[in-house]
Amino acid sequence: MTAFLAKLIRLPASPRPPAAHLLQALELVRFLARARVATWTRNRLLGLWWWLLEPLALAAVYSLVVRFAFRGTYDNYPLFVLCAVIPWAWFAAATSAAGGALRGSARLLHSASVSHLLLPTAEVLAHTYRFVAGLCVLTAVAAWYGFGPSWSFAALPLVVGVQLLLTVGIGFLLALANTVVADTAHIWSVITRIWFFATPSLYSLDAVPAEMRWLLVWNPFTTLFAAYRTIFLHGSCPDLLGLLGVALVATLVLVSGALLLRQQEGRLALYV
Amino acid sequence: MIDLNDVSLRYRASRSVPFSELVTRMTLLWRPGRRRAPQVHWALRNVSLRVSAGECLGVIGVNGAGKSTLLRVMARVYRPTRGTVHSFGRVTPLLNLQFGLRPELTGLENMQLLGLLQGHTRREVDALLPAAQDFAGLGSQIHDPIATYSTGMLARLSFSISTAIAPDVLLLDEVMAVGDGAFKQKSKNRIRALMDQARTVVLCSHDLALLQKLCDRVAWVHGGTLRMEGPPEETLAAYRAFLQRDGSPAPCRLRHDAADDAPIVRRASRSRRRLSAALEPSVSASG
Repeated sequence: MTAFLAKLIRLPASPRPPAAHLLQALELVRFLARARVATWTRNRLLGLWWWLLEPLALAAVYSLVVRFAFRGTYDNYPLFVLCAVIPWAWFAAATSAAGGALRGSARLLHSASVSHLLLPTAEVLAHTYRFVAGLCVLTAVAAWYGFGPSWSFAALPLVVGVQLLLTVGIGFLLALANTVVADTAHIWSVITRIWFFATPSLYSLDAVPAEMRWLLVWNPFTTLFAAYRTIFLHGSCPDLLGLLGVALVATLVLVSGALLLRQQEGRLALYV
Repeated sequence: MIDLNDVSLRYRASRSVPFSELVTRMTLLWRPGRRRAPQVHWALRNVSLRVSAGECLGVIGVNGAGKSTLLRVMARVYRPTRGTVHSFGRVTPLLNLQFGLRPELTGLENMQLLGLLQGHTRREVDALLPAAQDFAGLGSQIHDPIATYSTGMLARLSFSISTAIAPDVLLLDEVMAVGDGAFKQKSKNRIRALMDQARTVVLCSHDLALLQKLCDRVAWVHGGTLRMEGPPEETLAAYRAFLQRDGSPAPCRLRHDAADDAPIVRRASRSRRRLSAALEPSVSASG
């Protein structure tokens, strides 16, 4: 397994065992993610505080909008919406950053033989750090609404892990597509917008006409948002079977993305 | 050791279709038969070259001849379109002074990053840092973001960390040309030291006197092919004569008829053909 992974990410030839290669790749990814975080925080007045302020601002906006505009749509509507908006913000930002990872490091691609899988992964990791801060805000807001942490939080790493798999996989495919067709970034921003509204994010699955519902079941984020809501709003265990299905799809996307990217290594530099 | 066997590399210019052409294609205005077969650019063409352990190979050639591409193929940064590349041992390419550097990180952090990018583990990098820092001689400025650095300082930074561990093969592209006199001397000495440790060096430069002094062998790349290869004196003399005879070397990419590259031909866009037409005079003048 480690040998396969080490071969997949193609580290420089050396007499080291595969496990050491993987460790080295992991260190590089973590360092690159830290470098990305540094770009967000250095020379900023509030630096890391933005990671808390941004989701808090979102929470405030939705609370106000609900109070004045959609009064009485759902119970605890702001919390209901935040359970979708915060994970979605992570997904959208991380995939678009991962998509630009290779094109943005053109100089690196032209000058060093670095596994192309590591750059998008690092971007996703940096956004994951940020998402963890968002989850803390979500927990605090839930407590404010009277939904304190419960044992269901034990399922949270599973849900986050499944979403992470999907994000990295799509990040790989986007990074590859973006290298060949520079318009990918624009296309993806349109797709994410449509995808968000085509997912039960601001509304619940029950609000969708019954004849359309089967379509939404195929959307991985229907399951993921429902899982976040089950954990934060209902304090119970999310639909594990549904999550398993999403995890399988995510793994498929991840492996195919990694193989495709790996196959094109050494050629992509000529495109950027 | 590096072994290039009959290596060719086709440069892919952007294959994207301009919007205007997309519209034309979708309407009846487009007729398939009207297209003229464009020509294809090869950055390298049938290059076979062997660099043995402990050897210092110099690479010369006019701008656009394919020197950098050759080094990148050796470093496995580019995968050749045809032919094979074999390399043994740790290859450290130093092809671009600012590769992988992040302007918002400090000099020290960038050294760590470069070390990691070159395949060292964190522990190895941390062990290398003091010596590399010392060699770079940047003083307390090593803790400043490199956005404030000059080109010479960046060169010092990259060179110091990249050569901190003697790699089995060191590939240098034009790096020697920057830096002040003192650092230039220091880096020359280090390259000498690397060569003394039976490490292989491939050095690409326009500084012919430097190549004469350092190299065991010089390869002259012209139009993507290996024009000459041999002892420094002979190759450099032939190259000097060529430069004098051919005063202003125009970009000299080889152009080939597209007969053997049919799939690419069909996809090539009109703007590309316009570019080819514009390049035509200079190409025919040089070749």
